Amino acid sequence: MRRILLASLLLSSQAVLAESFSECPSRAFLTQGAIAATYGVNLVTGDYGLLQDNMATKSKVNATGFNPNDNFLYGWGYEKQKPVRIHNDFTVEYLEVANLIDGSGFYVGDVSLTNNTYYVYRKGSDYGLFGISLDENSENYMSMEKVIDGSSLSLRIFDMAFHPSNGFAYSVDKTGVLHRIDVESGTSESLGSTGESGTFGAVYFDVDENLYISRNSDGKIFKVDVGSGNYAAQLFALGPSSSINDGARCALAPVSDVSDVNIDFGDAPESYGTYLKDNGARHGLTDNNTLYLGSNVDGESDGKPMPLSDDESDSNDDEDGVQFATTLQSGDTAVIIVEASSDGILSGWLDSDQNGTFDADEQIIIDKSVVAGKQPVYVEVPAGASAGSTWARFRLSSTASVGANGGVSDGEVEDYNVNITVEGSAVNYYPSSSGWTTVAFEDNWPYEGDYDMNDLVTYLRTSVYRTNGEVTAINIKGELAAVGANYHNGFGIRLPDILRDQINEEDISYTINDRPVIADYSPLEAGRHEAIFILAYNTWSYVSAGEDCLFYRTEAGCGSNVQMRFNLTIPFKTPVESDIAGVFDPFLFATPGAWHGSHFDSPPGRSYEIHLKNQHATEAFDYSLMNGSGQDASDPAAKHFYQTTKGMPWALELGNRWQYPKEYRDVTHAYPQFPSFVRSEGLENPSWYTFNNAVESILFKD
Amino acid sequence: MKKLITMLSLTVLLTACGGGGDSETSTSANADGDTTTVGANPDTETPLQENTADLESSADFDFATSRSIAIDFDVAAARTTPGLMSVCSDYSKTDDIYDINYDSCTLQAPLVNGIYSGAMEVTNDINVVVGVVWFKDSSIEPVYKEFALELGARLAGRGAGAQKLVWR
Repeated sequence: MRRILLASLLLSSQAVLAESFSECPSRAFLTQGAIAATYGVNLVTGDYGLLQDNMATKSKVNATGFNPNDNFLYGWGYEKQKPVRIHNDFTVEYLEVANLIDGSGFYVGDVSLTNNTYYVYRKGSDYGLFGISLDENSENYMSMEKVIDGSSLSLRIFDMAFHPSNGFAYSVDKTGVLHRIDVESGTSESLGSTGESGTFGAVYFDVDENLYISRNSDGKIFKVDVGSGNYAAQLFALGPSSSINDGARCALAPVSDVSDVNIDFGDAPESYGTYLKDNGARHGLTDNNTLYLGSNVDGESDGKPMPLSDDESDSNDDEDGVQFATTLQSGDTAVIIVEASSDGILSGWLDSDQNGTFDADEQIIIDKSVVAGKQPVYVEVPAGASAGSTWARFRLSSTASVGANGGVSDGEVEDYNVNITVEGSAVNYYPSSSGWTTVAFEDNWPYEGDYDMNDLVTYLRTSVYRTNGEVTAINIKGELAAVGANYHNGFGIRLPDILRDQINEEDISYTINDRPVIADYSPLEAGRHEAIFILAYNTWSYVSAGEDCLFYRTEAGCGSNVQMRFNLTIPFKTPVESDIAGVFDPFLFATPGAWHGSHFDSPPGRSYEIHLKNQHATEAFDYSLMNGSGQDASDPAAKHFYQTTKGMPWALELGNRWQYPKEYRDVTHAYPQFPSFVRSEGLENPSWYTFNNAVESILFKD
Repeated sequence: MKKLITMLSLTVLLTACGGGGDSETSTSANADGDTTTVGANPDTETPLQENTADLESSADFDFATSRSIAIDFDVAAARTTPGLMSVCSDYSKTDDIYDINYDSCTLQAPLVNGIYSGAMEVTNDINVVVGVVWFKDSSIEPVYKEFALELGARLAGRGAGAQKLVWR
């Protein structure tokens, strides 16, 4: 019974049914993302699964609500700034309504069960509370009627939900106060504090008068027993976090556990057999789980292949039982270190031909007995294995002859994204094989900014592959951690002393959030002499600020998961002698066509760049801009670049996954050892940027 | 219980700052008619507070967060049996047993007749690394060598070049 319910909710992206839901489902629906996707959330466990990532819209959908009167979801579609009806395949249908008001989007909304009307709300005198009747017999059918303006009814709320029977809508504001809204009169009453504050972007009711509120920044779901009058929020489950959230649920359904989370799935991409529907590798978990890889294992109700892996989205990364003590050389021996919780049988596969499946002849570990603790396992990488990025799967259980797919009753599966190298290849990792470094920018060059060093923050990791001392390939992984800027900026990386001609352009691999970037897009900048890679022309195209926030991940209370991760593999045509190392030459540039301050008569675009101190610009830069304007003291003849008259930088590299200051806060206040580092020219406090040297309360927290 | 108290006190803190945030300018995203007290600072900080805008640096100081370390390995044990080398920074040693976190490696390379020569870039917060050589012959135990690292700025101050890690 449970399996059937689950399978019916796993719809492919090609579903063409345009119908209402056939029932009032128990799970809640959560719509997220700058490009809308809908997840089903099991409120009992917090477990969630993607239901649809192609909702037939290029933009956000918010203010969603479930209408038990017709069993459709309704929401506000940002692409056309109109209300939408959402079908059971989660695609949107724009509704033509009379008296549609102009302007930007609503993020608070729900459908009233009692009067069959879709209500949307936004604070501010330009907006307010509006109702769109969904009742064909009403004279206001499909007409947007204002109930009251958003100044008379002024609430800092981010979603609302209608009670199952009393006709009121409820919400919790940013300070944690529970409000009851009368949608007929447009008035509200504060009922009391729930004791939890934050942006509750998704709220839901169940039939027992419990209100569930999901906090954007950390994904925590709290339960408030509205019916009892005791409004203290109780932590109920951990769900997904996002800067843009909206929740809808059929309030008439009881909350019950409709899926089985006592299973461990893998998270390799879908083709490897990860989903239940593809007979993905899975292991049963018992209450008293004793057999697993590494230090823990967490369950999922279904596979979550990358890029949806819960190892990325929840705070529990259980991929920790296997480490690579040597490189994986094609046709050669390699050593992996396996940690098992207790004795068991281990098997492993390596997709050496990179065809997206674990084939029988790619099994590199066959029923090897392992003991509790860490041990080396020697494997042979198949001869002819293609060099490059691929996947490996390891399965531990008490059963022998386990295949790459299918279920077993105990143990754990762990999938790893690995790199196969050619024979004799060495790799330099920076800062380490799993670590991150950070580049942080102020974007107002040639003028000093506020030194919050978060106008653009990128985490980076580089890998340089060499054979016989010459570079054969470079990999750059990155995450867009913060955009605390009004300007539209791009981000690029130049490979110092490497020429464009030396790059094997057609074999470059560039993925964003583990999806290949559109075909025919080469991040290797055209028309240049040097090897310059444009990771993003406009960082604002990939991230969103979130409800009631100006910036991406810099303001208090405006947290979300990292929204843009990239992975760039750069093969060389022939090996090149080069001592290239570290973070290379990362730079910020002005988005072409975008205003970058009144200092420039016209948008400076690519001719405007900011680099680390004393790093010269790329060939695209207009050096006539270095004319002593503002506080800039660049002096190309003396090889001084991007420094103020006091020698201070516009860009810094920090050798860790840096926790940057909140918006408008000074980096020196957040990291008090910085001044002595500067005055001693690096002799004192070289680790000034580490977390244990920070004033935690000044840092941004996601 | 502890969590509830913390959340309540956070709520009080937020209210004291004018609700929802502690930014100091009127263009803050949280300001919508709430009063913000300029200079109000609930953070614990040292009394003498500098601002970055007041700091001065020499024109040549590059604010480096890492330094290059040279590698000169000629591992005797790996001259006759092929060795696979890693250099990693996170490890512990109990009695004579090394427990290495291979997620913290800065360099991994096969040795050629026991030799590897090159360099690696290491961040300022790392003071020690361990080199390990595994052998393709599983009957031979791996060999290890620890290295203490010097700070790049200190070496530069002496006019010395990059530190070289030597393993014979």
